[in-house]
Amino acid sequence: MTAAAPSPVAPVQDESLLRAALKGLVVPLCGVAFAFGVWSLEGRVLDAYDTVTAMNIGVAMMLAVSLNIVNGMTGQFSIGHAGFMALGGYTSGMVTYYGSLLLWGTAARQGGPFGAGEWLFAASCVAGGLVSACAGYVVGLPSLRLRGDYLAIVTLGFGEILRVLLQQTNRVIGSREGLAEAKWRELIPPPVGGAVGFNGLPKYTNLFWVGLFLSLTVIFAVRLKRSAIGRSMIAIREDEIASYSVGVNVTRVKVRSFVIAAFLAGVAGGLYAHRIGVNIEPRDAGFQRSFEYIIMTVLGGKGSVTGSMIAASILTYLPEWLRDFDRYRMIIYASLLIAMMLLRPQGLLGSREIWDFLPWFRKRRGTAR
Amino acid sequence: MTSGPARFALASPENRPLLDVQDVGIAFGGLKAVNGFSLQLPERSLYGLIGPNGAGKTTVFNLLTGVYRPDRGGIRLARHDLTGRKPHEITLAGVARTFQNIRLFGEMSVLDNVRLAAQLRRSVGALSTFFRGPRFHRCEADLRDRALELLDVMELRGDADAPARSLSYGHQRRLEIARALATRPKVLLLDEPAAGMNPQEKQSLAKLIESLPERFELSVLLIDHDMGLVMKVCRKITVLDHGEIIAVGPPDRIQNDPNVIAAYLGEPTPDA
Ligand SMILES: Nc1ncnc2c1ncn2[C@@H]1O[C@H](COP(=O)(O)OP(=O)(O)O)[C@@H](O)[C@H]1O
Ligand SMILES: [Mg+2]
Repeated sequence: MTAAAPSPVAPVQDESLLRAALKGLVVPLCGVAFAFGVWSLEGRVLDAYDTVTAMNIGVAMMLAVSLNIVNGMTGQFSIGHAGFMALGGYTSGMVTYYGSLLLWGTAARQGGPFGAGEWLFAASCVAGGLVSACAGYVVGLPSLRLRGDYLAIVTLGFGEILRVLLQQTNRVIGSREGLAEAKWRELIPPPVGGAVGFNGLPKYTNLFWVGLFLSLTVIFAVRLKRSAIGRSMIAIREDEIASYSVGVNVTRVKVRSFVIAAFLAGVAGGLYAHRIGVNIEPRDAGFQRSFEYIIMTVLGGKGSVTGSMIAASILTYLPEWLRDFDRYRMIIYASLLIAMMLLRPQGLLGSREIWDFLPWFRKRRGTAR
Repeated sequence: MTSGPARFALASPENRPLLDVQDVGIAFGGLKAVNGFSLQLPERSLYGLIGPNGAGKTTVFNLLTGVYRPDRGGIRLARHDLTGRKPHEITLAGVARTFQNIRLFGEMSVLDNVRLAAQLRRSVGALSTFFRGPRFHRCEADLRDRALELLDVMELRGDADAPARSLSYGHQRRLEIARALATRPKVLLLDEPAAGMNPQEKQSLAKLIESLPERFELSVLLIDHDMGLVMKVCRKITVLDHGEIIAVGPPDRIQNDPNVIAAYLGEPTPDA
């Protein structure tokens, strides 16, 4: 827009504001189109096995991108991200499973594509996100006053405590009558299957819903990075003392980043819980899984949304691909990780995005915007 | 803290100073880094704070900006009591600073460093951040214009898109001032802004600092080791040594004060 002319600065025209605002809506709509696009590949280009892998990659991307908001953008070391995912997954599972029992008398799938069941499922994912966000607030508020190692320990504790609590839950109740006759002690702690996991969830997750929630997550993360909130997050990562000296409410911004990340992880958990071929289990809340997501964000680059997406797809696909090597699998996996970190310690993309490497885009994204 | 309001009631509203620091002190372990420091900073003034290395100057800034909480004493800015407030609240009330050891957001662009500071009193929610409606864009455009204006003042506009860490030392110091100004302060604390600058840069910096009070309607409290600069720019100076005030007055008096000369020569003062 304006060239690097000396002052006075040319005001931004209203017309360009309107166009920018329109773009604000167009991009999420492209996300919806993307979701339809990947969904249409299901069964044509992708066989059943590929579809599952694609869904795994999509969910992993959501978790890596959301964790990157806390670990990468804000620079706080959280190692309890799987806890938020599992909490969202269990919550969402309870909504669809017991909701279906109450509404239709069976937990089986209701309706076809975009039928009643799928909408219940979509809403349950959002509900999972909200419950996770609340947990993020509760965990975040006291612990974000802590720094570095202490914060890491508290978040680790959250995931591990959740895992143990989930093991102590009640058996899943199989019918509407069972639910009606259930005694209090069968309902509290909640009937989500204890150590064996939450069986019998309707398998609603498909590439449409993964594509939709993934693209909304990515759009949000990218827009966050280039916004007032994102700037204050990155500032905290760069220098906490300098950030409060320019008026950033450091505690509030940290908690906010924690809540946002937990919300997105919770939604991803909903998708995870309703996927073909897996049951959500207490183990999913544990630190091993959290660690996988941390590796993705580190490998992708701090604060790089597209970087963590690339890393998430590589690290999700790699074990599948290495299956042929069977017992050397973990050794190859680990060596590749070490090699990557030695060759590119700042991560694949550093703190940049993939389009920052295109000269045309870089020019457009200069001072003018 | 004990007699907060009563102490300030003595000053009549007309000639009440903009920044009123009364008898603040802080000790680190046994070391009294600042002891009984008082300062009355009038509106639109240029005030100097000098003293040998380790005298406690930076610690005074840290006390004024809430990085440290004073063990005793009170700090007031116009009608606000700033004593014991959180750093970001103090910035919001109108005290901004630069750092002796430069603290920029290195990975962020020069523009974003200033824009972040300019967004202090503008809030945009998470939902608005997602949908990017007209309000979001107007807010971002305002912040951008304001930041670019300040970069013009500091002659940094050409570097707007560069990461802050890539700037030269002198430019980084100027960026710190631009960033502090973006918070719209009433009091600007400059901690050795000329350190590491060449004579030419220092001269233009001096001119710039002198222009700040009228241009931005604020008062400047300046720490620097370059006596020439402080004597030239400031109307009044406080001298610290070992955490205590040893002299207060206009530059010509300070220059000839035997206590000050002794402190700078490293000799014990007669009454020490
Ligand atoms: N956080 C701290 N902990 C312990 N001692 C400190 C701290 N901050 C400053 N000091 C001490 O206070 C004294 C004054 O330091 P400072 O204010 O940085 O001096 P200067 O006048 O050079 O800016 C020094 O002796 C310093 O070591
Ligand atoms: Mg100092």
